[in-house]
Amino acid sequence: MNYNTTVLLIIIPILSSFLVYMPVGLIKKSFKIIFLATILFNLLFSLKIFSVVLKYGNLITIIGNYHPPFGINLVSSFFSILFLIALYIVFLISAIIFIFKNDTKNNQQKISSVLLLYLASFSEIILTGDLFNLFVFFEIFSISNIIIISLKNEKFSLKGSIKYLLISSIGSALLLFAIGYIYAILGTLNLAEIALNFEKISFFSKCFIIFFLMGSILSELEVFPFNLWISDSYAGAKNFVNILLSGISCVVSLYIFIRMFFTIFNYPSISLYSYNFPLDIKLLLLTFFSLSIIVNQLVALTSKNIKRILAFSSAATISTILFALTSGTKSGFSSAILLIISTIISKPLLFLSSHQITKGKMEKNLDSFKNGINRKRYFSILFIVSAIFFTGFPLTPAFFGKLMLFYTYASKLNYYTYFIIVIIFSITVEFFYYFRMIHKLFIKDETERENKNIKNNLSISYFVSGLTMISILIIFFIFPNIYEKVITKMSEEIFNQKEYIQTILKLGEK
Amino acid sequence: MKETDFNVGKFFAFLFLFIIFIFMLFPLFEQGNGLKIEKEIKDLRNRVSFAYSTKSVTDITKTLKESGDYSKYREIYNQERNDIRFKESANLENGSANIVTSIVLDYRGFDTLGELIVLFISIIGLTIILSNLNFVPFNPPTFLQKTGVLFLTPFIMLTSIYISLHGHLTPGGGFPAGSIIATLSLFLMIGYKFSYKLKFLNFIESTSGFLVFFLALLGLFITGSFLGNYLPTGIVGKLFSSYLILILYSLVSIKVGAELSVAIKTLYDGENNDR
Repeated sequence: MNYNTTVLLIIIPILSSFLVYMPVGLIKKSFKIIFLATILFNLLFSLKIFSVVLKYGNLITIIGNYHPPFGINLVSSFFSILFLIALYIVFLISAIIFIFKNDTKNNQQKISSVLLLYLASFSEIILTGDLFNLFVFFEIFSISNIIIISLKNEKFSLKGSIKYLLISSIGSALLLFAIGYIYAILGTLNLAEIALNFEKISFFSKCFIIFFLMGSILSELEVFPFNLWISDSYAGAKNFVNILLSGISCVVSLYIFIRMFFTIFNYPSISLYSYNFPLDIKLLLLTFFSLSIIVNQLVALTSKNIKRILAFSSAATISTILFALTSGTKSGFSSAILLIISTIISKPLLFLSSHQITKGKMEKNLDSFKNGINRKRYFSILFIVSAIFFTGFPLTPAFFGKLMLFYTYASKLNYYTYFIIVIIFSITVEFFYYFRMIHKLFIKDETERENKNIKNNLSISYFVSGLTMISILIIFFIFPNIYEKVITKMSEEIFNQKEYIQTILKLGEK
Repeated sequence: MKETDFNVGKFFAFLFLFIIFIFMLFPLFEQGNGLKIEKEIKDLRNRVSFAYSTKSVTDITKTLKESGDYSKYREIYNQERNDIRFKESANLENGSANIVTSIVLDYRGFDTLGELIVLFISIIGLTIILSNLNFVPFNPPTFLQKTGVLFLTPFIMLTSIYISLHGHLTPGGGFPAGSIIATLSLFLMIGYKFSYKLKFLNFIESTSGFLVFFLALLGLFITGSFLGNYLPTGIVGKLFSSYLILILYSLVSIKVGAELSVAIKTLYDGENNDR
């Protein structure tokens, strides 16, 4: 296998997005097939690459026949390809819902083109080994997010997408600023070479670069002062968009965070402060993320709108993951990965099932959950199971993740340990509002008129996608040792900066 | 107070922005021991792009491959190399006389293709958000508009063709040429009420975009790497040199022109009035 074919994961979606966009009669009839076939191709091809990575280790893909650091390159490693496969599965599920729902008749061709570009952009963000290339595709990623948020063309969704546009364009500007700074002082944009030389630059410049990069992805990470867009955009967006936003968008930004901070900047080593600039980055980030966890959980607790509750609880989970990553230790990283697994699988399912339970109600607030167990039995059960998984009942990934989080901060007693109070608070609040929602499902609705004329159609696409996700959840529940080895291997890769540099720049030292 | 009115949030956002602003000022006061890279960083020889300017990436990579360490390229930048002479040197690794074009479409071509998609997706977003809107028709063109357009059209057409074909020789290339083509379509719309179908434009846009990526992808099968140069590069400085860049830039100009014309047409007439 030519390793340079990895680029097909990005180019095939782009080519088919151009193809899908063509206003030709033949394509109008067959664009759905092209759309689904492309996603399936990406899924299968990434599985193929994964098998090669397992055999031979990290693969490097060269673009334009120019070896890095001169040309752009892609790096497929165990961590990145596994991440991609998980995201492709979530994407496939939401794509199935989008294709078979048929309520965007006029624009369906255009939207599928946008979704394919979304697919290409996040594949590239995860695989890239070049900083400016990351910026370009991050831009495409943000723009496609803006478009899919505004799809419903209502007051809420347009408001949400404009808010997102403002915040993400500030973020892009910050990212560009950081890239310019890095190029000015290091003379390169290749991630491996940046990693090689990052130690040599001063603490000031390190802080500068880190804070600007951080600021650029904060809006996608839904951290508190930058997450004001989610209240409108989740509530106003379509169901498949909620799945994409909660299952993919923030997870991709988390990937950027992990790759940048751990592999490139070697974060645990730079958390020490110097004499001329007394700043403890770790303490600062911890305070910031704790504040974000508290605010997000409180907003979720006080909200009435179902989608808003789920959105803010998702934001709180992302902040918890960042909280775990800030520790800079292997156990913190494992805890973050467990929580990411739990988020990727159960959050889309929560959105999907809650959408089906509240379907047909005028206001999608807590009261619309009443009597759900009788109206929509299948989806109510899905909701309950996924809520149990998400909040972290014993033997679920979220449970182990939170346990690891406690272990990370409590195994070594110092003043960071006090921050555990925030996590305990967060878990308590989360339990409370999820069980309030589950409780509502069993209450009889007195205001409900008996209207037997409405047919209780069970859409096949929803049924199948719900079934797929719930079966993945149950597999994780029965065999918790599946992810044990995977996480060990991932943390070894992420904390091994030397191997990453060797793959790309120092072929002789193997 | 409504649920979404979150003024505390606004306060914190401003506070955070203020802190970032203060932070931005810090590097200005950095005292001496800042940049610890060995040589003067202002020297171009400390940057990757020095190899681009001498069109010697392939040679340098060969030397580096023998030593097995690609990060030490700075040390061999001082070695002597063959000069590149205008209208004399032939069969270089890329034949573009304009160094910027050689970087934009060859060494870092993937970024440029990404920027093409940025434009494409923005225009799709525009048309999706503005669909289902009805626009008030404009007044018929006046005498001045008609005459002005009549006078300017041929010049604009000529300029756009010149800029797109000379992208590899002089400043310019696909993106500016595309914008000029879009200006032309705006002029035609104002002056002549010349109405073209959006579907036609969409077809041109997607076909040329498809072709750009397809031609780049052919490199994967012919040279073994995406965007690899599989056409002859010719003599530096001649019009017919570096054929791949020439073809790609012409396609890019068509694509950008059609795309911006779609934007203008959508903002001018709306999608519903498309006849």
